[in-house]
Formats: sequence, structure tokens, C-alpha cells
Amino acid sequence: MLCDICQTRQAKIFYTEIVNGQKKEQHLCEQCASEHTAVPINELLGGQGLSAIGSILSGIMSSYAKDRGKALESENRVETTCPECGTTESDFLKTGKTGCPVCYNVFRDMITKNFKTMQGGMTHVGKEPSYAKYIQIDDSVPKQTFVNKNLEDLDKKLNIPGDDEAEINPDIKETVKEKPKRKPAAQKSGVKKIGELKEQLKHAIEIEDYELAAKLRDEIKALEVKNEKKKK
Amino acid sequence: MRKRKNKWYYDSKAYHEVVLSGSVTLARNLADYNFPSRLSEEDALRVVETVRSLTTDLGAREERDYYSCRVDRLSNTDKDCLIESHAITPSLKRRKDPTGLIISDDESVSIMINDDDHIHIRATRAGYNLRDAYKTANRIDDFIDSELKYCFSEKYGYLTSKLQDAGTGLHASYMLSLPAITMGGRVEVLQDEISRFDVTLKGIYGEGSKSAGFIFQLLNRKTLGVSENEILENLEQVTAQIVNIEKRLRGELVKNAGNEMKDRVYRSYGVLKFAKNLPQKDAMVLLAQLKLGSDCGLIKVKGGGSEIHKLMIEMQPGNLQTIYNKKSMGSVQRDEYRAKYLNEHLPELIEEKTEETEA
Repeated sequence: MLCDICQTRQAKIFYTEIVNGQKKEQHLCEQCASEHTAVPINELLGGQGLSAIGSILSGIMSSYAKDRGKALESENRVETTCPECGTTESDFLKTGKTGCPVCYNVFRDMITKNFKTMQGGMTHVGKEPSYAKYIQIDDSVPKQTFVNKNLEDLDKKLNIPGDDEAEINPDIKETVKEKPKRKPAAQKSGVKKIGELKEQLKHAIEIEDYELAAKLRDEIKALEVKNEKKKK
Repeated sequence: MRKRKNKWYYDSKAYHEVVLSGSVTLARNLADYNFPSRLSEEDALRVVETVRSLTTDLGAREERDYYSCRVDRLSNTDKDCLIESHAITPSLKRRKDPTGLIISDDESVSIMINDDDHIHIRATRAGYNLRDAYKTANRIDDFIDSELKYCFSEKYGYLTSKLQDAGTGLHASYMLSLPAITMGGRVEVLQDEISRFDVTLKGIYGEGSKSAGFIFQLLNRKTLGVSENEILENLEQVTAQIVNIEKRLRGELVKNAGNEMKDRVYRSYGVLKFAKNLPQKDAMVLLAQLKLGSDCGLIKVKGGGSEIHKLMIEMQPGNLQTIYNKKSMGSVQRDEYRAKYLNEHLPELIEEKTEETEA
């Protein structure tokens, strides 16, 4: 159907106006609708607007994902998911929004890439809060600023002394990034027991993902060393 | 909940012929909750109530009346009203989950709860006054900081849901009235030129670079790696340049096309005074032309440009519906009410040669 006003473009919007009880109906194209009706076009489209800004961001960042050799359409690829809030990589790419502070660690590579092109620098300068929960995003952050309840609990379970936090952190960072094979609800935190890690290692070797396998091997080693220390 | 008295834009002393208002927004998130887009309804409610509980203390500290409400429970008319005076953003209106608002009696300070982030502190001032707006927002930020726990990273600063807010979480903006630059067809050139300085100029009350009332918003693009002071300084410097250009072009307009301009300005006044049906777009253009005439001394109206700016805000749908106490209006009916409102409230003409001082 053609637009009632311009008679050239396709009508996409059905516009009903009720004035003093008189009903007036029109089939309009987007352009004529925005020119001839009082309702802003964005409202007609359910507040979504014509194109989301997130899509540009998504384009740039997904091209980066391909650079890593992990094309989005690849079948074997497991989607990265934030264990804390359940934001998936595609959610993040689509909306350009993080769901929680942990996302900053989970999608670190993409975020770094984004900041490099869009922002004025890679490090915050300016005001700091007097009282805050400090979120560790980088290894260089002093260890005492990193507070994570789940981690503390796990430390107790795994018999890891609290002052080893600095060593644990890289592990968490890695596991959070690599792990998301199960549903986020099942993941309490990034640290896993050695047994689980070994199973994953087996699986990694089976699917010939040697990069992951190497990381898992190192993690297992680190955990074993820590546990031994504790026994002594 | 709100009084229709003494809004921030009634401040006629602060009136500036190019810079209508300056506003500052600080984005903050609380620790121990997901960001609003990933928040359960109960948690969203908890965030709203936690922040709202600060209202009384905030009022006492700022020595001003502060009110709070649940935005998701307001009528669309009330929400539109708040958007029109720049107290809340359209994105807050669209959210379905529990959202909240703390607002000062003159609507110059608003704390939006559960928009993209848990807390958006916004302070607005009429005229060329960004520093004052920032001081206020910063003071309120300090207060909330002393009461609640923010989440922060030494590397990336205040963590926000959108990457383009991370770091300082600061977005500063000026509303600029640029009729001469627009009429001269220089907007695109200007937008191109200033994008090098990490600021964006966008038309409001219109689409893209078009702006029905020649009103544009200038705001900073970067928030990470630049300090608050640098952001404000940069925006002020660019604004100063734009103000100079606009004033120069206005001078040229009056010099080269004075009589034509004068005719246009008086015509605008006539239509606004007597027309019986005024769509928003038309009204905005007519008011903008009248304001230009008043700023350039081609016409004298009581209260000057400040009064015209006030009409620009109050002739918008939400305000009209509130003023005439209507739950809903069809577009034709609304245009009639708009005409009625403008007919009645258009400031009086001050006859030439009767050197009256402005109120």
C-alpha cells in the first residue's frame, strides 16, 4: 500500500487520530508520518528509534572478535557470558551495555578496544569516591583493594590463605573469561576445583583447543602448588 | 508533588542571548547490585527506595525543598513535563522497571534512579553557568558518596552501564540558541569543525542537524582519561567560540537584512498573538524568530528573551496538558490550546522610543 500523502513510498504506519470524537485514519510512510503528524516518529516505532547506536559499536567490536580467530558464526564457539549477571557477548555487542561491574572483566578485550577508539585515555583521571567498592579490572591494582565475597568463601573451601589474593586474581580473570560453558546461574564464581579443571583440560585436548589447554594446565599447577603449601 | 512556581528557567538575571542553559549529569552505580538493565524487580525497587531515603537529608543539607517519587508510577503527562524542563531523560520515561526521582522544588536538580545507571545526578542552570551547575552536582555526589557505597575501579573510574559514560561519568552540556548560524546554513560546517574538539552539537526539537527552534545541545563526548575540569574547560572554550560566531553572524544579519528581519520578527509576534491553531513546530520557529528579534534589539517585549525561552518550554505538550489540566489531548485540540496559551501569555510589546527598563 502506498502512503496516503506522498503516494510514492510504501505506507508503514497506520495513524489514527481522534479529534472531538471524529476518527481519522491514514496510512503513511515514515517520512510523511514524521512531517504530518504530531507524534514523533520515535514514539511510533515503540521508542526504539530507527537505528540503535549500539549497532555501530557492535560492528566494530565483532570485527575485533573475528580478528582473534573466533568468528561469531563459528559452530564450536561457546559464547562468553558474564557469571555474575548473565550478560552474553551478543547482548553486549548488540546494546553496547554492560550488566554489572564483573562484565568489565569478562569483556575486557572488547572494552579495551572500545576505549582505545572512543575515549580520551585508558585510565581514569579525576574524582574518586571516598567510600566505594573497588573493582579489580587489571592485575596492577593493589591486592588489598579487591574485595569479593564469593572469592573469600571459596578461599576457605579451597583452603587458600587470604594473603594469596594477588596470585589468585590472574586465575579469576582467566577463568571468568574462558569458562562460560555452563549456564551463568550454575556459576557462583570464577574459581573451580582441580578435578573440574582436569576434566575441562581433557575436553580442551579433545577439541584441539591447545591455547585453552595450556591455560588450564597452568591453572591446575598453580592450584596444586597452593594446596601443597597449605598442607605443610 | 511539584509546584508550578519558580522553575530554574524563570531566572531572568542569568539570561544569555545565545546560551540558554547549562547542565551537568553524573552517572554513578551502587556496589553490590547489577546495573539497572540486569536488575531483578525486587532489587530495582530496593535501589529506588535506598536512594529515595536520602531525600529529606539532602533537602536539609542543600537548604531547599526536595521531593521524591516513583517515575514508573507517574502519568505520561507528568513525565513529559519533566522531560520538557530537562529534569529527566526520555529513556527514563520508557523504562518499565521501578524507577525513581528526587527533584528540587525549582527542578534545577534532579536525581534519576535506575535509568541506564542506578544514579544520574543532574544539575541545570539558566544561562552561561556550567560551573555552578557542576558545583551543585558535585556537592550532591559527595553527599550520596558519604551515605551509599559506589562501585569504582582505579583503572576505569566510575563503572557505568554504557561504555561512553565510564571514567568520570560526567556529561556536561550547553543548550545553545543558534538562529543566525542556522539561517546562514553553517550548522553542518560547524558540527564538522567542532567534532575535532571531542564535543558533539546536535539539534533538539527536531531530527538530526535540523532544529525547529534553532536550539542545539553541545556536549562532551569523552569521559575516560579526561578529568572533570578538562571536560568543563574544553566545553566552555568551544562554547565561547560558537557564541562569538553566532553574535558576529547576527550582527551581519541585522546589518544586511535589517528591514526584512524586522518584518519577520513582527510577523512572528502577530501570529503568536492571534493565531488560533499553532502546531509545536510552527510555534517553536515563531518563538525563535521573536527571540532573535528581541536579542538583536529589533523588537522590545516585556521580560525580553528570558520570557520567550520560558514560553518555548511551557508550550510543549506535557506542560500544556498540565496547565489546562487535561488528561489527554488530540493533536488538533493540543494545537488549539497551545495557540490559546501563547495568545494569552505572549509578553507585551514595548513601544519604540519609550525607553522602559526591562523587568
